[in-house]
Formats: sequence, structure tokens, C-alpha cells
Amino acid sequence: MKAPNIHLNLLRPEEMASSSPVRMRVMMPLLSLLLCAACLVWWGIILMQGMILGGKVRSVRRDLESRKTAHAAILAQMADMRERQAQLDQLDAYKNGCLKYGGLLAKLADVIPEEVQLTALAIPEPPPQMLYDPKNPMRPPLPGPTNTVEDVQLRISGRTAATASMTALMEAVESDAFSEWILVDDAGNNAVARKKRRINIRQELHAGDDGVRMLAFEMEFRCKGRRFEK
Amino acid sequence: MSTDAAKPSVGIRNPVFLSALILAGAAFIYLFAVQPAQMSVEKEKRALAGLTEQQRVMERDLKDSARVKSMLAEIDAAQKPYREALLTPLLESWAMRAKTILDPIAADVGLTIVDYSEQPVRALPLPNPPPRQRYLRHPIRVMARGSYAEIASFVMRVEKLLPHVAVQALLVKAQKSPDAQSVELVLEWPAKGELLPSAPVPPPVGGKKK
Repeated sequence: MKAPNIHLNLLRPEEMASSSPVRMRVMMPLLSLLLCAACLVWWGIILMQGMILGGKVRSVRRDLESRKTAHAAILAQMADMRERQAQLDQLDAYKNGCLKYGGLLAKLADVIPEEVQLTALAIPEPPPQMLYDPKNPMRPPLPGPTNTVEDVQLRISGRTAATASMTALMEAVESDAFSEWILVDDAGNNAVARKKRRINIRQELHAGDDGVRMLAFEMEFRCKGRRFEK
Repeated sequence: MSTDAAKPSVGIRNPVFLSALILAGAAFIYLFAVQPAQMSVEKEKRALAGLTEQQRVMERDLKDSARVKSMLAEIDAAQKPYREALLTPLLESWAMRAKTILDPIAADVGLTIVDYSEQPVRALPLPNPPPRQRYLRHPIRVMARGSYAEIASFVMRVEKLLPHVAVQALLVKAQKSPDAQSVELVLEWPAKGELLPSAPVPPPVGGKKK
């Protein structure tokens, strides 16, 4: 004879809600407590981090404060160095713009033909600097010129009875002996000089020479410009 | 039986309430302790990063001290010839100073200088960055009489003895006597110009390196 299956349900109704072997009424507060404790630990860690960081910040601040005077001095020296360097750059630019014409004058004396009588020799003054904007003259002037190159010309005026002497003088001035001052191109064929050369010739009756017809000429050569650059 | 199962008993209601209370406490700790502390730490971190950067720059600048000093000495040495060549007014006259410099040279070569006059100054192009102390080209017009050889000799002597003096313009006009040509020379000197007011002093910490 087989005994009938007896099913005894000993679980309480609230225990039927979870399959976990640990009771829900134990687990829930426990987990909450753990979470709360974790939050507290987290807070503690952050507070600790904050304290360490605060200590470091104070230490760095103290260090910066202790070297503040020395650093201020070195910064002042750096600013002074920049200022002096800028001044030196400006003066170097001036020096580079200084061209020497003594040699030109000395050499010219050697190449002037005997038949040529010089009446004038000139290196004309450069045009005035334009520091005001012509379109807007009310604007304050520029602190310095924007153009760093100043053109230079050599003007030779004289008289001669023979055109050959004038040509000889012109060729002599455009020769290599004067390449230090007179503009010639790199190929050395004086093409630039020729392009820039300007000659005015007029015939005049020279009173002192018993009616001999003289040629009065004025030659203008373009010289190397003054470069106010470093 | 089924109604009892659906409704939690007093036994579970207490733990739920307790858990809710503890969770509320945890939330409170998070909102009013963890988060502000975290923000404060972030702030400290940012402050530390800024200060460390300042410290790094300061150390670099202080290490550069010797280099800066040697460069200053170099620049000073390079500026010395210019400082000596600067034209300064004598009794408030620039032409008077030029006269004291040029008269002995002219006398040496036999040139007779008859007049000195001041010309309008010319500005020099400014480097970048521009200096506070500006320099100018100060031209002085010199009128003289002498032979061509004396004029050439005078110009050569000036250029040799005063390497920072430049001929800006020249006009030699032939006269009846070849020994007394008329010459008009414009010689220019470097001179001190305007001194601009100093720029605001940079903060002592975190200065930029050139």
C-alpha cells in the first residue's frame, strides 16, 4: 500500500517572495548598510585625498612664495634683455644702412678724363619720410618707416668738348671698379645700371673758349640703396 | 491564505522601512558629503596643476638666470660702440656737438667748414618687438670749402674715424678756383629718440620665456 503524497508548505508567505536562501528581511537592511558604509568610506577616501592635495598645494605655494623675489628679478632681467636686444636690432639696422662714399670720391678723381670739367657732383638727399597716411592724415603717425630701403643716386654734372670723354667717364663709372656703389646686375653686364642711368645732354656755347661749342651733361646713376635691415 | 501572501507582514515591513531609512542616509551622505568633497578635490587638483605649472616655469626661468646674464653682457658689449657713437646735444645744440667732432678732422685735411646746421631727424625702421627706447638718424648739414682732394679726404677720414656716421647727401659745386670748391655734406649720426613709458610689469610668476 502506497502512502499518499503529503505536501507540507512550511514557508511563510513573505519568504515565498524570494528564492534566495538568505532572508530578504536580513538582506535588504544589510545591503543598505553596506551601501551606506561604502558611501562613508568613499567620503573618507575623498577627504583624505583632499587633505593630501591641500598639503601639496600649500607646499607648492610656500615654495613659489619663497622664490618669488628671485623670479621677479630674473623676469625683470629677461624683459631688460628683450628691450636691449630690440634696441641693438634697431642700431644694427642703422649700421647696415651706413654706406661709405669716401672711396667713390677718391676713385672718381682717377677716372675723370682731362677733357671733362666737372661742375657738380651730388648724392641727392633722400625724399622726406612718409610717416602719415596720406589717405587719412588725422591718424597718428607711424612710429617708424615701413620701407627699410632708401634709394641713392649719384649725379655727375660737367662740361666737355668731346662726346668721347663723356662716354669714357660713363663707362668708367659703370665699370667693376665702381661696383661697390653703382648698381650692376649679377651677370656683371651693367644692364641694371644702364636701365637706371639717366643722361641729359645739352649743347651750349661756352663764352670763355672763343665760341667753342661745349656739351653740358648731367648723368644720374642708381647706387646701391641704404638697407636699414638687420 | 492568498490575501495574506500578497500583503507583506509586519516582519518584512520593518526591514523595508529600515532599509529605506539607511538608503536615505546613504543618499544624504552622497549628496551632502561625497559630492561636495569631490568638487573640492577637483578644485584642489586644478589649483595644484596651475601651481605646478607656475613652479615649472619658475624653475625653468631660474635655471636660465646664468644664460640671461651672459646674454645681457653680450648685448651690452655689442651696444657699447653705438653708445659711444651716439650724437648728444652740446649746450642744447646738436650742431655744436657735431662741430666739436668734425672741426679737428677738417683741420687735419685742410677743409674749411663754414657752417653747421641741424636737419629734421629721420626715424629708423622698428624691429619686432619694438623697443621702448627709440633711436633716430640725426642729420647735420655741413657747408665747407676746399679742393676736391680735401673733400674726398675729409669724407674718407670721417668714415674711418667715425664708423657710425654716414653720408646722407653730398653736393660738390665747382667754383672758379679748384682749391676752393663749395661742398654741402649731410652727415647723419645715430641719436637717442623717444623713450616710451614702460609696459605693465608682468606678474612675477609664470612669465613667458622668450
